Amino acid sequence: MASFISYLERRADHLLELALAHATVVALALLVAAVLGIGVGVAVRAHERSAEAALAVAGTFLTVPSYALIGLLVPALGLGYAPTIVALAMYALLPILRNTLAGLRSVDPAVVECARGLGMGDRERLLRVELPLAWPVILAGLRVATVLIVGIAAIAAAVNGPGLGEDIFVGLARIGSASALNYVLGGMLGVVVLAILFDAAYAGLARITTSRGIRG
Amino acid sequence: MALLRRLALPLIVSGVGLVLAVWVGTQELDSIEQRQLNGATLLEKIVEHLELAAAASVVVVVLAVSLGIVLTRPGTRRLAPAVIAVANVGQATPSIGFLVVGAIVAGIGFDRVLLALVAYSALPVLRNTMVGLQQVDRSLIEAARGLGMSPTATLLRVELPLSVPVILAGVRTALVVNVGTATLATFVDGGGLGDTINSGIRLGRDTVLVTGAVLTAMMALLLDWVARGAEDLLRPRGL
Amino acid sequence: MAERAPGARRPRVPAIRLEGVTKAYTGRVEPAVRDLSFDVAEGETAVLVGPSGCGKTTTLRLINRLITPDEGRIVVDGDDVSGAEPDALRRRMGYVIQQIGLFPHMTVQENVATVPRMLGWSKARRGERTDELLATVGLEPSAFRDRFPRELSGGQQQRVGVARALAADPPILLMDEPFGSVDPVVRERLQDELLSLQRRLRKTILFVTHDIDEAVKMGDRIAVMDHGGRIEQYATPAQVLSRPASQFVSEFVGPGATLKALSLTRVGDLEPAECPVLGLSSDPAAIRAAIRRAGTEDALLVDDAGRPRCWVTVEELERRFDALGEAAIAAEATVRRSDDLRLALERMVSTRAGKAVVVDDAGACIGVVELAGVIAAVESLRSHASVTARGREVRPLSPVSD
Repeated sequence: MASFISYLERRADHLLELALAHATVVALALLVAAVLGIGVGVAVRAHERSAEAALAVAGTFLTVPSYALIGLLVPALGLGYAPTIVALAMYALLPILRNTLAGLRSVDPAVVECARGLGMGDRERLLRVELPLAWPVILAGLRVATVLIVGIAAIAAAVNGPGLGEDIFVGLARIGSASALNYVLGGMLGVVVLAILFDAAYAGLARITTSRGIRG
Repeated sequence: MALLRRLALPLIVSGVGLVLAVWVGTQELDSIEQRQLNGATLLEKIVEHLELAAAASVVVVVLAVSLGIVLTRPGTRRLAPAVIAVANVGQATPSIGFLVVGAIVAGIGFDRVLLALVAYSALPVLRNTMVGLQQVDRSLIEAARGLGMSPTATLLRVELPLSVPVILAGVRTALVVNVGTATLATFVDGGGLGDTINSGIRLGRDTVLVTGAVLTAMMALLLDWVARGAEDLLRPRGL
Repeated sequence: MAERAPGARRPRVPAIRLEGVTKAYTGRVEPAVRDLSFDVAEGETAVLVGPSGCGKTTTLRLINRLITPDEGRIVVDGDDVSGAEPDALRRRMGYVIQQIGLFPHMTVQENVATVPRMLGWSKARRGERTDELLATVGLEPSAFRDRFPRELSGGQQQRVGVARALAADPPILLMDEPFGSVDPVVRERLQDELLSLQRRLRKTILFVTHDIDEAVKMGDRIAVMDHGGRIEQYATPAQVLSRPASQFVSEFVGPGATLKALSLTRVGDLEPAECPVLGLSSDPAAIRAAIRRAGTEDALLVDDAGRPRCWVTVEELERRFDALGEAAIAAEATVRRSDDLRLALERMVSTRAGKAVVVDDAGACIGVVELAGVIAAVESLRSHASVTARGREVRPLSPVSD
């Protein structure tokens, strides 16, 4: 225990660097997934069959094992950042898409009817009424997606990708030596701490971005 | 039409398999690729992978469902939120970490890898079992007890059947997670299709890499499809 | 109950007795039920009625030991329930709740046979019993046996709920707002069916409701409860309506207590009104003579089958003695002996004659009732309520003493 703590102190700078890279990959993947997920969700919300198909495709992505998915992207995108970000975005898609659809469907039809009655156009209604009301649910989807891919991102190191996975693989390479466990646990701890920080950030974001009128 | 929709996934997966076979067949394979991409080797990898995922899933169902039941009984119910919170954090932990820690602490090989898989995939089943049991309408339990059912009878005849859909969803998640984690077993000498993917990456042979990755994806999707069918069959009628 | 040999019967032992029962839930200062005592006699329907949160449901749950009292004794059929094995105890008491609580994953048949199955009945016997019970609660067995609860309407679900409670023929039924989740029309019908069922089965029923009208309708005896499970009055419906024991009871009963009381008395209980009844073809002179003899204002004319046709007065007879049929007021307001006074009053005030003809099943006149008779009945209800009602003696409220 004591040796692990002193290891963390010695390794702090490097861990911070890895964590930053890890967070960057996750954030970029989320951005892609959010644009795609919310966009597709909005587009298919009124078409039951398209919505079902979109959910099925996103569900398929999530079912494919992470190492296989990243591996499949390597021939096309090479090693490193690119396959990692694309794979993570594909995983994050399902929770975001599912919650976008659920959120938009949970908006009271009477409210939408009122907005129409007030003369709001489709675009205005979507931006000023539907999306703000669905936002807490969409945000919850983003939150689930984040926790999911923070962990998966550790695999990136297997294809020379960035992030805290690197130390896990360093530990793997040093099996037999006394420091192996420190490396692995340091990497895992970093991932968990990062997940908790992301989660806390979401709680804050939810408070700031949710209309006070619908805050629980 | 409904049947067609049901069969859509296996049909697509078979199609992908066919395309893969044709593509690999038309490639000019060098000796390294030939060593990886022959029927016997691939079959061995597939069997290893399936064994690992299936064994882990069975152990997890038995362990996590029992634990979930124990943790939702009146005496222990207070622990439930804490356990669910731990399960949620556990989900954020990278599965590769579980495997490597397992290898360092217990050594490498099939049972050790199995142990790591079980530890990691127990969380969704445990959580779903607890959530499933907790969401059973209190008035139904009240009615069962009011009719004179013993606590055990209430559990077996009312609570568990009514939580089956949620528990099964957890089991299916565990199965998918296990197939995925078993892919990483290659890093701790656990075998499976991860070996094929890993060789492809290390040796810079895209044909090997793509074959391994596509086979893994096909296996995961098919198993998920089978589990989905089992879920529909096992769900109590009337729900 | 039917199986019990006459020799084994313990007379004067109430089916359910609570003595000084107190129950407080953890985290609440006020006990849900404090020092509660009352008896329910065998074969009687007692209703606990009161505002929500008054402890009615707690009381039921104490009796079948879903919860245990902090203090006091609960005796069922002479045995202290604290000594009984709870599951065995509950199998002797049917339990019906507002949420109905049918098991959604079991068919109607499996739901109804829950207790028989636990009691180890054979499959054939369970099937037979289920069919019998479904018929009893008005559901065609072949159509409903294999359905799942979600395929039934709310009313049908609660019928199955009642059938399930009756499955092993328990001597006691505990019913917690059983008809609270169905619409008023269905509720009325289920109430009527339970009443006629009870006339045949004579179970001991403890029925909980917050609706005073339902209490008046269903109960042989009503316990009006205030918060903390305090019984403000435990008496017959007539007594509660006509002589509320406290401010709380009269406020709870609300305005219109007298009108509610009308539903407690049947037309057959009324003093019949004096009225000459003659055939349609009678001689006007004879009609006049009959009216004069009876000292009434009019006479009722009936057809050959004795069915009421019209009312005639002396004046009408004098003006147009040859056209009786047209001159007279049609005697359309009819009631049966089993109708309650609320209905009789309704019929009376909706015709110019101001009275109603009592007819038998064939529609033949067997008497006449009028407003004065209804008023007299209300009067006597009020003055007799403290002595008897529905022919039952009234026991002191509390404390319970033998």
